[in-house]
Amino acid sequence: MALGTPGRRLPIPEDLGSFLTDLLGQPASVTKSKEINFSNGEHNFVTGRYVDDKNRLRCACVADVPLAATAAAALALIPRATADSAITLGALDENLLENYHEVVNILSKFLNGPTVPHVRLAELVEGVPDDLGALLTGTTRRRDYDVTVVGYPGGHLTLLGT
Amino acid sequence: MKVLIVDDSKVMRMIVARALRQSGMANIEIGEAEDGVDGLATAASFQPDLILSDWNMPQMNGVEFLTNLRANGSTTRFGFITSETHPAIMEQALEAGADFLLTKPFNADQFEKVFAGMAG
Repeated sequence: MALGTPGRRLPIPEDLGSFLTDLLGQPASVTKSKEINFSNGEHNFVTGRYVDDKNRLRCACVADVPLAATAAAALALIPRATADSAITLGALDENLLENYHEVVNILSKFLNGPTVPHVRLAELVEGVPDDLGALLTGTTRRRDYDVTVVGYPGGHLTLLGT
Repeated sequence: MKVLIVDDSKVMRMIVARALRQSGMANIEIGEAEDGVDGLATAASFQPDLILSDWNMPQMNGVEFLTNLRANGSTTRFGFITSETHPAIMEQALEAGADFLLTKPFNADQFEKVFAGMAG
């Protein structure tokens, strides 16, 4: 779906950067990224699944572990070393996952609007779930972002919405 | 000023508390509760001047919490802090007796305005 047609709007990088700066309390910079191949094996991913009122998958937020660890740590002023450890392990510990869940939950504000079905965060899963394939079609909007947060490693984020 | 923060997310309670302290309001005493059920009990014992509550919470959500609070005769100033932005949510909040609604992410400036409104 072309970005100019009616439908679920995904944030431009500048808006996402302002959002993350406010949320994390640290200056965040967001730029457009090339489309990431989720099966490239370079990093593990963490995926937020957003469903509509009939529990149908409508949107997703896919972050690589470096970005998820960055957001989770920055949110609670956790030292960078904790994020670095998560990146080395390729997974977030329980505390970081809880924090990152809140980030992805609040991100839903970008996905909702008066002209599109309401969505809510259903769950946060490690990896990229199989049913995400249904969203990776020509009718789904997609934006890829590179995110940096002062004092933290930063990483990649993809939003998908239909 | 006594402020009760009601949110099932520990990190969000921490962030709200941080923003409150950054807002410049002196002598803020903060209480915390994990959901509406806990919020009702804590409000009764803590006697806050202001309640800041999440919308989506287990056991008893924010609207149910507020409705119960008002049914018990409480007139404590009450604000929702939520990521929900749909106009219907705002309408439902006000109908239930909320004084204001802040959307996440929020910052200390927004709390300053809330406190200024309470003072006025």
